[in-house]
Amino acid sequence: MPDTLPQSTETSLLQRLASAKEKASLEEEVLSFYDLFQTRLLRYAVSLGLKTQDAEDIIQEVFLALFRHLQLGRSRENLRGWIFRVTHNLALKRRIRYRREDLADEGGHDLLASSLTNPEEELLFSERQTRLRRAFSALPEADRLCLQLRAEGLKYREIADVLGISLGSVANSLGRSMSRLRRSDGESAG
Amino acid sequence: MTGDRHISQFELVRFVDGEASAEEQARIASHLEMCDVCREAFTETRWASEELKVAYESIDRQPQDADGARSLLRSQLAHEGQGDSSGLGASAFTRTKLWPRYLYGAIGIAAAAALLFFVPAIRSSLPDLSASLPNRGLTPGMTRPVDVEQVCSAEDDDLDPEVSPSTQQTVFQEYGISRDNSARDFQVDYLISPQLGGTDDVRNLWPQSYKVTVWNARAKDQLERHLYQLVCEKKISLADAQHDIATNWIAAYQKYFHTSRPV
Repeated sequence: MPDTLPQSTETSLLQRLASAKEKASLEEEVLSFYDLFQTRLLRYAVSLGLKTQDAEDIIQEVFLALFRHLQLGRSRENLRGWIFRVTHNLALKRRIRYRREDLADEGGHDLLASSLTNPEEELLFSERQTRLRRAFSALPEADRLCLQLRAEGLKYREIADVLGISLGSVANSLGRSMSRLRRSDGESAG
Repeated sequence: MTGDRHISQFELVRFVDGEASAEEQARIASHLEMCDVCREAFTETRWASEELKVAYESIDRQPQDADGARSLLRSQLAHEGQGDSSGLGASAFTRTKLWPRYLYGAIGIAAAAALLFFVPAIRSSLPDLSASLPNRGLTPGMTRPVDVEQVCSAEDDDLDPEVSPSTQQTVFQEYGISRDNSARDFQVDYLISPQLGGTDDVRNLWPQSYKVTVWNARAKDQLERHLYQLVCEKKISLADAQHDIATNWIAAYQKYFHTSRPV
């Protein structure tokens, strides 16, 4: 009996030490993910109409959520898609709040179009590139988001998860968009 | 059978993205070898894809303070899962932790309390009240990771260190205040004062109107000094002081000075 108490104390101390170590390594892992994704997520959140500062806030929230997700031992499969999905959902929530507070800036989120508003910058692009950017900006938002996530290197399955649509819808959206982008190129040239 | 019909745009995109089935990939590849029309479509699709990718990646978005953002995350992670949801630590007053549910509740209670206090003079004090409080969505309050000892041993007692003109401009822009009116009618003030661990991040700064008469900068300075004293005398925790001043500094004033109007 007298022996069991110190032993259990030791065991509990060791357990706590192990869990502290585990937590520290998880923190480092989340920070590595942050380093890898934060610029891309910021770009994505801003493209959804968020002010840069709010986008930054949301990204902090995403990585805290990632930490909790991993700490709870949840699935590590496709964390890239998971990170984009959480960013997407939080950004949309924030956007709803903008609307409520009347802060919505409808024209402010088309990043490619905004690069065309400066005539000097526009000179940097060929006519064909400019047409492509314009055609992209004219696409419905859902189609633009599919293209953006595709440009981020996400697979169709991941894009479908992020946007909450079916795999078929992703493929259809991309096919439809590409067809419009190509058509606009042909029309303007001709 | 393989080479008979042209490749649709949908198939082409999937092919370019490597998303078609192995069988489909092989069929499209062999069709492209013999069909000029489809080959041209394929080249254009690939060009547009690559061009969009380059254009999109060239949009360089960086956090306004990259190191600060990373350290904030690090400190928030350090506070995660410590089993103490109330002791969120010095960085707890970002919107990420307390916003929106908790703050909305607190703001609601504080606003209701403020209204009760002001019933006799409601008409004159309401505009003053709203002009005296920051927009919590834009200015939730931001703190650096400091503890009580550091806060109380600091020698700097400047309640309102100068904010750089560019940061001031950002604050005015966020609040939609025109350049013409900005410097004349407003001063940029810290929500959580630096002595209580507040930072000069724009989320901790807001334009305080010179025009308000009751709940003005003087009253807020009084509160800041009082809270600082209470914190250093260990009568309240630093986290509570930061929380109360960030949530509704007027309600905090009323609470800590036990009064409905500035003394």
